[in-house]
Amino acid sequence: MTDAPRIRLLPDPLVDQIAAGEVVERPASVVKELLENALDAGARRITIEVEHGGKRRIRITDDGSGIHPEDLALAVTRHATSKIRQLSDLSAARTLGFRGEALPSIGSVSQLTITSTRAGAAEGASVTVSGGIGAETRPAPPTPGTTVEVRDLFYNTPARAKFLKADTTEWGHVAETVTETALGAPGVTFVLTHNGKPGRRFDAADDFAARAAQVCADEVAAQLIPVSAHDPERGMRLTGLIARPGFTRSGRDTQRLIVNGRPVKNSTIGHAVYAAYETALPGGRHPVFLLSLTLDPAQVDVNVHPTKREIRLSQGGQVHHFVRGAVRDALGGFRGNTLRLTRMASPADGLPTAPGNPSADWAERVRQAAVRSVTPPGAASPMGGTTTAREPVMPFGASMQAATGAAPTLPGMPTQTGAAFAENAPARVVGQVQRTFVLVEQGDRLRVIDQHTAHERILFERLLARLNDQGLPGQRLLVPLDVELPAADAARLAEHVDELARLGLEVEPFGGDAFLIRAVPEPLAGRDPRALLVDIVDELSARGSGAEAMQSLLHRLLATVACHAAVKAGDPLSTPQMERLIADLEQVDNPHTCPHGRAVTAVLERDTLKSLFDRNWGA
Amino acid sequence: MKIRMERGELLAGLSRVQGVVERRNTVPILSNILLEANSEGVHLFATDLEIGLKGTYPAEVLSPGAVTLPARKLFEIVRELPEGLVEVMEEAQWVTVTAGRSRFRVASLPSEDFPPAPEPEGEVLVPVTRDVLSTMIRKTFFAVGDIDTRYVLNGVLVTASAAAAGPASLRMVATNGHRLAVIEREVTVDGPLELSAIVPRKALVEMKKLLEEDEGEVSIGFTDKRVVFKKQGLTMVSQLVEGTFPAWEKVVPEETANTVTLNTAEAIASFRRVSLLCQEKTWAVRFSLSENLLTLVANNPEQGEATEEIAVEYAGADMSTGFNARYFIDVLQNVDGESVRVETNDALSPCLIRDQGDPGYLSLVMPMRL
Repeated sequence: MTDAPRIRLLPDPLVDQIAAGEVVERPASVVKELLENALDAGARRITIEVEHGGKRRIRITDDGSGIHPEDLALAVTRHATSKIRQLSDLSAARTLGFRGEALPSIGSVSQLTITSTRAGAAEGASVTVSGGIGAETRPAPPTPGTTVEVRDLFYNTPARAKFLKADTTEWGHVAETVTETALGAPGVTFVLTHNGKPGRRFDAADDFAARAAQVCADEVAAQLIPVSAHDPERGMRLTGLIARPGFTRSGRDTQRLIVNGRPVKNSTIGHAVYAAYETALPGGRHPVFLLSLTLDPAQVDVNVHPTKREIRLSQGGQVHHFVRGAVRDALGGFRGNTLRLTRMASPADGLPTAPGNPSADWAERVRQAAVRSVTPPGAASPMGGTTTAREPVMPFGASMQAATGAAPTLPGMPTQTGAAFAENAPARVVGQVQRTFVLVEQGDRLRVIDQHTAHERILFERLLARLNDQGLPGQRLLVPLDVELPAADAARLAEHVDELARLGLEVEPFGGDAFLIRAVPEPLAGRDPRALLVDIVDELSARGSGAEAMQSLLHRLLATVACHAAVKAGDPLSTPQMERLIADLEQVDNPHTCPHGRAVTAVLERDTLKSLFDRNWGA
Repeated sequence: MKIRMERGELLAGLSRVQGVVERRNTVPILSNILLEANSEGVHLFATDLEIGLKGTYPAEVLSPGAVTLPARKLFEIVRELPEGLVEVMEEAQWVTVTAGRSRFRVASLPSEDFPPAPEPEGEVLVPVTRDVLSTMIRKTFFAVGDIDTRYVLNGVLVTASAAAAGPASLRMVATNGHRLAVIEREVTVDGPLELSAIVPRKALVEMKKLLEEDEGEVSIGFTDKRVVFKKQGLTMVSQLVEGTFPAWEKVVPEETANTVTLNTAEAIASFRRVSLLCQEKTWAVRFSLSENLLTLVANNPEQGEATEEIAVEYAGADMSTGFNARYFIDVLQNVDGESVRVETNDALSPCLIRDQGDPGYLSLVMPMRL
């Protein structure tokens, strides 16, 4: 019989290797840690060179403040950091990294070389660590900033190396990490290469929205509208881009969220965005959003997970309310519904750019950028032909300014091409096609309106308005039902008892957190009253008013009524009927989609029409 | 298997099971019907695992055996066949249906995979005649809940209690949580009987159909878990709904302050007319009682207002409340008497409707707050 192994302290390199398991999972996680360090050092330009998906080599060069030669050896020691000094600093941490475990962790599973020169110093210094061993500082040439090179990741931990994927997969993760990080630092230039070839390039942008437009594919960027909101009282600020109403995707991959400069995932904020879209999202479809939220650091707990991917919000409700309101305002304010098929003017049109005009209104720039939206070459156009759109080659990371420059401003045309829907230009009904679509000329655009979805939307909003005016009859229950609610829900429900009674849902406090349901709204009388009450309480927490909560429960019902009452595709419409339809459509809150989320309008810009006929001269 | 039978017989059998077979089914074989041929004739059996319906029909059995075929498709085929004999022959997974010069080859599924027909034993028979059973179902069925998540409301409660042989009261109760219908009939039992069972909606629908088919004698019996309905050559077995039925007796007021008598036919007509202008997706109608006058008002702000005045005998205080007109119409259409007595205490309490032609019947409608 052998002796049971004795307990002993692990040697430091092994401790570091174990710790590395938490922080360093793959090349992309190395890149993430190193980029955070570079940004914390105040870098304005960061170059990321990657070989073989980062498995062979990762080299990150920044022009930041550099590391003091005497600190270099310390930097590769665990829990050594310049970013916090005491526990109380943690809650106020404004830097991206703070744990002091990144460099030693990386050093323990690779060949790590750090070369750094402090600004103004006559000489730089360099330190090399191999598998966590050897940290001797040597002098180096004085190149300002810091270069970190990581070679042969996991060379000494074959078990981990085995789990790395193909070069292309790892490269994809690295590119994603750089993109995410770039979103968190719009003012910094990022240049990324793979095996010596250009990968991504994001030139320094004026603000988050400009950076957001850079990271999107052009055809997506063209469908985005700006969001901007500020709550000075609570120190909350939201900026970014969201999909216009009617533009949805089947996946969530183009949803990006930056909180206090850090790419994160957070279900509260995500839910707030979805809630703001409401009926503009068909079932199973997802919006695109790139949002940057600034909150009081004290309200955000980032130290939940080693990769800082998850955050906890101490005032989740407030943030939800703020984000939903901001996104809803942006959607509500958007009237220039576009399903654009415009052709991009060629650079030869010689349009002046707006070089570095920092005060340029972002909304305006995005709108202009949207004009260069793209039809895939050769795609069939609604006019039955084939567009001949040529897409000028935009260098990766071409700045928004360049993109703006490509916006066509033709003589005699208003520069603001994203004119509002209900705005000024009178609409003229051209006629009906296929007994399904109404053609409307309005200013410089030809609108194609789906008569059914348009009418459906109009009727739906009328039904809603009526609900809010009149209330609903409450069918009393034969046997009142008691429901016990969680304390917070009970308190919320108690506040809305009177309002809900007007909407047909009669509940009364039944001692403690219990309620007695006495009546249910007649249109919902077929549902289980207990389930109904629970749904209402859920909606109350998301929406705040009883009428809004009830509306969301009645939504499907109202949408069905509206759908059945609306004119159908195939119904012939006279000109007065079409004119009335268009006039009514201009009055509704959301003229973009029907209550089921289908599009109402498509727009053909004058440019598109002209380009179909190669009519590029004058107006 | 090879059989020859009259088209009419086969069609009747197939049409009976259509309601049992679920159109959309994750278990493909449950969309099928089992045909089993033996010396007694042909047995047709269909089930959705809750209800099973089995019938026996005369046929010339040339070779016994069993086969399953798509219930809906077979029904559609036989419906279109000419009058006369139909031959059904199985050959290696394929079944040929021949009549006159028409021939169909239909894919079958193996009969061994078909769930066996439950053979209930020891069911307690409830001594009830065809007419009584038919009436009891008719006068309660409309109040059964529909797709309610409180499953017990999606069925009719059947109760009876007798300590010994002799007269006993058989009762059926249905409610959807907003209205209630109760019917009682006296039956004669030949021994002690203790029954409380909830029969699901779907079983009631099938029973109603079978009861309406002809005048033949029927029987209904219960085991702990099942209800068994039989008539000539037919057996339907259904599972009962498990759970506790709401304590409906407490809801029926013992005394009522206000009573109005209405002519059934006139009241139906008034309710129908006034509800033409109900608010969208509701059947909300305002009831106002004053001396010898009942006024019904419905309004829809988009379309207008409808008013019906009905002369009644009423001497109580003026009162006003709201009701779902549909609930009243449902009751009034099923009562036997030329008039009904409507009783209530106040605007928010239950409203009783008594059938002047059937003292064993009571319906109750909860008011609506408008």
